[in-house]
Amino acid sequence: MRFEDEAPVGNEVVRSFLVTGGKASTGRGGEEISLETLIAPTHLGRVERPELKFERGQILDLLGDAQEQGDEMSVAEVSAHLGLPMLSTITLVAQLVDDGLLDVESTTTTMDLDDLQLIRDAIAGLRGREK
Amino acid sequence: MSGPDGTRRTRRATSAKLVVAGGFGVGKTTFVGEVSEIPPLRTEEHLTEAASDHDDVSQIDQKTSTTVAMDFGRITVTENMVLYLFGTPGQSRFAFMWDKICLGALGAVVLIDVRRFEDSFAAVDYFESRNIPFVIGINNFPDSPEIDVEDVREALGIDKSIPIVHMDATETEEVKSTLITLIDFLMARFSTPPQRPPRRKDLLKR
Ligand SMILES: Nc1nc2c(ncn2[C@@H]2O[C@H](COP(=O)(O)OP(=O)(O)O)[C@@H](O)[C@H]2O)c(=O)[nH]1
Ligand SMILES: [Mg+2]
Repeated sequence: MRFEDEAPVGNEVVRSFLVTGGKASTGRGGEEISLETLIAPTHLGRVERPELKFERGQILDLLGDAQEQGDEMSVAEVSAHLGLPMLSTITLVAQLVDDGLLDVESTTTTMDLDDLQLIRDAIAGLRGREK
Repeated sequence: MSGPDGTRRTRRATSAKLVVAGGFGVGKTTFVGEVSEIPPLRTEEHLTEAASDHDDVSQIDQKTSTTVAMDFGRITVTENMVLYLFGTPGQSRFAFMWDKICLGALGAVVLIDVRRFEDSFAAVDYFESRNIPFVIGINNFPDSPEIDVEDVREALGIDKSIPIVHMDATETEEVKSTLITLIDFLMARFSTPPQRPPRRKDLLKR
């Protein structure tokens, strides 16, 4: 997928699969995982949390803590907080969803005019962050 | 969303995203940081570019590694809705990554530095080709020359239906009004489903 105007000549971009061991999720869960998707541990995820190692364990720890605080968290935030590359994070999360350890908590398909009005109001009401 | 005790609420949350795009140094991170409720977070991707410019087979294994960083922020809309703002790098050669970032985006703000229009062409082309609605924010730097929005429209070769605003990414109120311009544009499209606006390339051909 390239732009006709901007197609690079002879350069090929190769994804790095180091963290995921080259395994991209092809399961059902994989389809619906985007950077903004909100995710949280399932009951099984909370039970299995101590058994999970490396990045999978880190992701469950981070999301488990957020869940305990009542905070929702997106795939992008997981990537940022753990310093994991974003595409690998998407793949890891998709695998954890497929394994029944994470639940997808959000949908993006229901945006209607009322939702846009809510977004407009929220932006209009922003005070800006304390700097 | 799950409650603290892990019980599922019946209504699922909605998460939406907007994209802020444009060339390097155009003000994306500044823009996102101005309206985000959290300090902007950064996610990165390491890309390996196989250097195959040459016919010489011995060159094929030479790879250069590039890190593409993306800053993002978030705005809580309601208890059940969160909006993410992704500031995306402008290199079109990482198109597959743009797809991951932009797929499902409600819309985009393309930031323009009038001293370097061409840096934003890739973003304009991208959103046109994916039919993602966008508005143009002319980011006014202190030494930016004054320029009329219609001249910007002509330089970018974009349809007259696309809103173009002057703004300053360091001013919260101006970033807010740029985002509201985008939301109003989206809402207007909602009530009158648009015919596909002519593409930049077609306009330039005329
Ligand atoms: N005066 C002024 N400076 C700006 C504005 N937007 C960005 N800058 C500065 O330009 C530099 C690059 O901005 P940054 O947001 O990092 O650009 P990015 O590469 O698109 O993320 C920073 O030093 C900003 O402080 C603006 O609207 N006005
Ligand atoms: Mg930046």
